[in-house]
Amino acid sequence: MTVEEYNKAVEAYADNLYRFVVKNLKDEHMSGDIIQDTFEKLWVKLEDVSASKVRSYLFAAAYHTMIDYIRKEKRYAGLDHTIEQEQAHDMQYSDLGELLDRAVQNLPEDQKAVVMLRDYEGYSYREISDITGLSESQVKVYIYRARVYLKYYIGSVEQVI
Amino acid sequence: MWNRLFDMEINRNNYEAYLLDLVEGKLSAEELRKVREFLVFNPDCGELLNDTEPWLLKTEAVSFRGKELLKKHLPETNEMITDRNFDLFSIARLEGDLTPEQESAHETMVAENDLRQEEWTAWQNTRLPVGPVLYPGKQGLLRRKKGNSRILWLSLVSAAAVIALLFFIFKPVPDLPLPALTDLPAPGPAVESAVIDGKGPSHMKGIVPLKLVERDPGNNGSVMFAARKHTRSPAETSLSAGNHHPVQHTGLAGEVKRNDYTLKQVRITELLKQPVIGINTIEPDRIRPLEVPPSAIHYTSLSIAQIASMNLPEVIDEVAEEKNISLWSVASAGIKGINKVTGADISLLAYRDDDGGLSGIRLKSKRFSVNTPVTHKE
Repeated sequence: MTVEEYNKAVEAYADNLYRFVVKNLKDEHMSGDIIQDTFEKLWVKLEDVSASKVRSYLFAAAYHTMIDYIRKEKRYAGLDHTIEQEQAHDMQYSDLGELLDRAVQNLPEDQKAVVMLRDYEGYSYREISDITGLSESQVKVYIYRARVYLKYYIGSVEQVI
Repeated sequence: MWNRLFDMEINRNNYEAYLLDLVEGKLSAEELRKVREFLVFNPDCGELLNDTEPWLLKTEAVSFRGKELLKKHLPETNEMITDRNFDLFSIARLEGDLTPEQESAHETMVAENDLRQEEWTAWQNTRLPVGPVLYPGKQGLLRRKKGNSRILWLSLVSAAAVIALLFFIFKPVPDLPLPALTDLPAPGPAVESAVIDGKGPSHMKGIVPLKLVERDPGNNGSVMFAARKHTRSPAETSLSAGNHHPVQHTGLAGEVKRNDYTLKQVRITELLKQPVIGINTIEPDRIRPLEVPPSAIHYTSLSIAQIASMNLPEVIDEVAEEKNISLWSVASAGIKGINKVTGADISLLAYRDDDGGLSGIRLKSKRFSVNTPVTHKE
């Protein structure tokens, strides 16, 4: 991969990567750090990554960095997160997008990541499997479970409203 | 098993261990015979055998009732939609997993029932909206050129060290014609020769045997001699005389009064650590000058492509000659560079033969050691 191709990858995928990470983490500062870290990894491995595989490489690197960060953070913030989840139903939502966004945040990390890769990036089960390291059938099951949760979460909140 | 490990005889203090092995079927025929013999004379000890059941756990058949619930069920390609699997088919349609027939059947079911229509809409709402999100730091990620100078520097130092080593190892050390001898008058019969010290492997540690051949007894009792040895660093050679007077000689040939010296040993000292006593101006390991004019190229200003296209051994040769440094210095500098950057502990040692010539090279660290013989071309 050349420097020119690297810069094209920045132009083409930095925003998508950032969306994927920031929607998962809800932390712009940390998300920015992960994106920089991800592209730094690409820069170091520039000669090993072909231009055709760079998108998958970037998402895989960002996903694993993000998961590491989440696991590390959970050790300290587990209790607060639980309380936040319980209060979700009492919050007011202006539109479906906001409601869905809140619902997604309640998904387990694996399910959240795969459903985002699926909906935001349009990745196939196989590609998501390559990125996350999960098996293809695991990816499929996570997506199905996520859909069920999202549907019933939205339905239950809409009834309350 | 401990009783058998120590080959102990069965007795009333250890018989339980034997009985346990008996129950588990671990006794050999000989041990079994001993146990039976023991039980004949100690029948009370055998009572434990009548109560073996609690000793062994029986396999029980236990089944998990919720096993079916754990199984994953996803729509099969030959499965048709029903009221019970409508949700499953809705997700599958959302994900594009249905066959055209299955999708058509789902569409029909949705169209025929308002409740199903609402359900389907709810499923469609679970798809995340793709909104534009811009990464503000994108410009900072762009690169003009690859400039990871640390890695580049490390690569260059390593490459230089390896090249220097290879060059050093495979460059034949010439069997020098002892040029100073050529200026001497025709040698008479050798009247004395001695091999001094350095027998055996100790010469590897720095004591190098020197073969001294007297060439021409002088008129006043002086002796012309030639030291037949080739060292990598002759300037490091000291020659001790009997009365601690340094042997003065020029080149590899010299003149000294016979009674003034008793040669003891020749020691190759560590590089530049000791002052030179006996001066030897021949430097067989110096790099021979190239028959080309000095280059005005500033190597630091060259591109990688230019460096790659150069004949590096020649460049090293040329620079080493220009700077008056030996190949040892080049190789040592490379090794030091690698050690400094990587934290390694590599060292470069030389093996020498009885004549003081380089016979091999040893590259060693805590983890590895590589010995390479050096062949001298005639």
